[in-house]
Amino acid sequence: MRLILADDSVLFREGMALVLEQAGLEVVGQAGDATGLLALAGQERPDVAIVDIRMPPDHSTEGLVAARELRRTQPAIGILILSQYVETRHVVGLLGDAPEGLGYLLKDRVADVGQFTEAVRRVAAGGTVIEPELVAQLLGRPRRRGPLDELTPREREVLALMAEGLSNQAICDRLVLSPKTIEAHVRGVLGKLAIEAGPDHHRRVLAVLAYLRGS
Amino acid sequence: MAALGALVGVVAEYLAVAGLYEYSPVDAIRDVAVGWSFIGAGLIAWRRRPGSRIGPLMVVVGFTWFIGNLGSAYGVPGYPSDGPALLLVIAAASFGGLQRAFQTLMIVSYPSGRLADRLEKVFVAVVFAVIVGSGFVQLIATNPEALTFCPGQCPPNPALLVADPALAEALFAAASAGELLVSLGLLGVLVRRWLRSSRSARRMLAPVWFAGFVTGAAFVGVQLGIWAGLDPFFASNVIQGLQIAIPFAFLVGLLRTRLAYAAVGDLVVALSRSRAPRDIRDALARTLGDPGLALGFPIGSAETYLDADGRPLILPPPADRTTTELRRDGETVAVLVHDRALDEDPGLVEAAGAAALFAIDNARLQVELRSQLEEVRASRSRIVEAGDAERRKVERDLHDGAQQRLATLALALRLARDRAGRADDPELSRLLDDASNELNTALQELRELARGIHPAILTEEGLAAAVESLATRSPIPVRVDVAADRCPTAVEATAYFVVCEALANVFKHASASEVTVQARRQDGELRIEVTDDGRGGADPSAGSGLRGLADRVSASGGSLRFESPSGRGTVVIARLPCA
Repeated sequence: MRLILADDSVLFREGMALVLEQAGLEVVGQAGDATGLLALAGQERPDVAIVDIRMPPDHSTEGLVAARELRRTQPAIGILILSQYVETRHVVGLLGDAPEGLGYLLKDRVADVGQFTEAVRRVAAGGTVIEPELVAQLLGRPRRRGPLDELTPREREVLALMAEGLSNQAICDRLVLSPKTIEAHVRGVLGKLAIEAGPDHHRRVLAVLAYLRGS
Repeated sequence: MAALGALVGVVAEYLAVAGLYEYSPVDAIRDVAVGWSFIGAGLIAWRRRPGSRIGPLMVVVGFTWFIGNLGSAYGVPGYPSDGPALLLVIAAASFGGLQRAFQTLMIVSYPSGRLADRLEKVFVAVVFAVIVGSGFVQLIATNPEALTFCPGQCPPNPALLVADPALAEALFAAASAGELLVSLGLLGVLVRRWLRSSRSARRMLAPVWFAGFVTGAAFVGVQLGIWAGLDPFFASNVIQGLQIAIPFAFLVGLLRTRLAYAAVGDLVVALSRSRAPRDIRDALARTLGDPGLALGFPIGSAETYLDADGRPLILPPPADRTTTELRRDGETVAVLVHDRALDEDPGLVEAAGAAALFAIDNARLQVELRSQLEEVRASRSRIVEAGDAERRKVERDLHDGAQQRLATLALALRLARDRAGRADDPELSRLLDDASNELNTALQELRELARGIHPAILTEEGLAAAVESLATRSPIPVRVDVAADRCPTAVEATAYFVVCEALANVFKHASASEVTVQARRQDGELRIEVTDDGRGGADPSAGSGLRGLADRVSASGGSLRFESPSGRGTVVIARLPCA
């Protein structure tokens, strides 16, 4: 798998490249800012671009802007955004209404090689990756009594994984449960929360996130 | 000078009365009155306004007035009939018109005695040339044989050069046409000057111009009348009668300034009604008849002046305006920027200034206070903004420095951990795992710290996103109803910190089950309301947090209100200007 990295810290970039290469992924280029990233992406046509959200010149959300541009010009490239902070707004801005091949993770996750490479692979395969801490935050947010309180602990777990962007199969693998059981849980959760979502797990991510933000 | 004038007048009239036919004592009294009033009014003006040349000019006009009368001795038995004395008398009779030339200069140059521009200078020069020329014509072409009032009695004119009656007739006609033209010219110059004058200049000069205008018009009329066959004696009587209008008009002009001095009394009354800088300016403008009058107060250094509305005043003013400093104890209290015409009567401006001095000093203090207040307000808001900028900088330094380095360090530790794993060193692996976990905790703490200092999302996406982000982290449900409109960074930061502090208070003290954060932009302000359903009864003076925020809010030009009725929750309302 071919990757490109964009981050204004050379040290971090190099470290990340090392980690990824040791995990068997190929880093074909590195960029220090959004302009470099777009040029590099056009040149290398990688499977995934891993992009720091905050880059020169304004150190604001240049990474997000570049991701949107990249999505428009080269939709085949998966994009994984890294950030020092988790912000729901960022995720909403990134995903739009087509979450395929997009990811958003805290920068800390890079050090957890197993989880990180799995996330990169999921994005490369067209899946969605949402920072677990953000999902935990949304799920754990204090709210008035409501349908969420009706969920069993297992159902909450399934809901969180759906929000993180996992497909049914991936949830099966993570929880080591049978596909049938998982499907039952998914149906149960969606039913209790009255979330209307088809079998397409991409749409499901959006619906679940919208529910968690809104409730 | 007055005595000399009186003497000259009496001598001239004695000569006239004793000498002239058909010359009544009434005429003599009138003549002397005209001359004396010029000299008298001139002396008064000279003394009262040493800066103006009008006084001396009027005195000159008065003296030249008597030249013509001196000329009346011509042909009177018992008076010089030959030699230099006769020549002097004839010359006086011929150049009596000089009085009109000086008078023209006086009228045109009123009130300063200085001619305003090239055209006026040329005109006056032409007037002098025409009148002197006309005098010469009379001197060299007057043949006593042709005079109607002394047939055969008058001594021969020793200066007679033009003996041919036809030529003499032509020369007289040319001279009188020239005089007619310059009289018309005077009318034109006066009209031109009137049109070009400012309001206060007109107000001050109107009577004099009126008199000059009437005289000029009368002279033109008389000249035309003579041509039309009117009796020259009657005509010259009319002109002389009108001459008296000039010093009289001057006196009226002086009286009018006297009236203006009386208006200073009204000014004092007006000032007792209101002490607002703006009202003082208006009252002064009315008193001095200068609607464009500006009052300037020195603020701080002497170079900076603020007007009555607290706006900077640009000095020196445009060319048609000038300044008068009002001083008190050697210190400039204010400057008056006024019409140049008022300089003709500095006494009036000074009197008005003196009458208004206390009020003006008071107003200066008001303006100064207001400007200082403005300065303090501006500096307070600059301090707040500088603080915000500093917070943003610290957050960014943390993000780009410590956080980035620690994230890189976490990567390095991970690589070392992998190596230790491969080298089958469980002790080292465990140590490195512990280090990684510690580092992760440190990263998390640092992240929270940086967010507390200044959340990046506030700068990036604005108040609504930042409050939403705050709500996701709150220990009790927070309903967020914040409009997406953006406001200036400083205002959004203030609003954000108000929400943070209000929420922190709710979490700590209110025992609330829900909080609502509402923010709306409306009518040029951002209104933020944080409402909880807690126990209320909070004392706003107890916590320093909200008081500190009240300072911050008012530094931004806003207000902070706090309502906490016991048992009915608490609401914090902040209003911040956001145009």
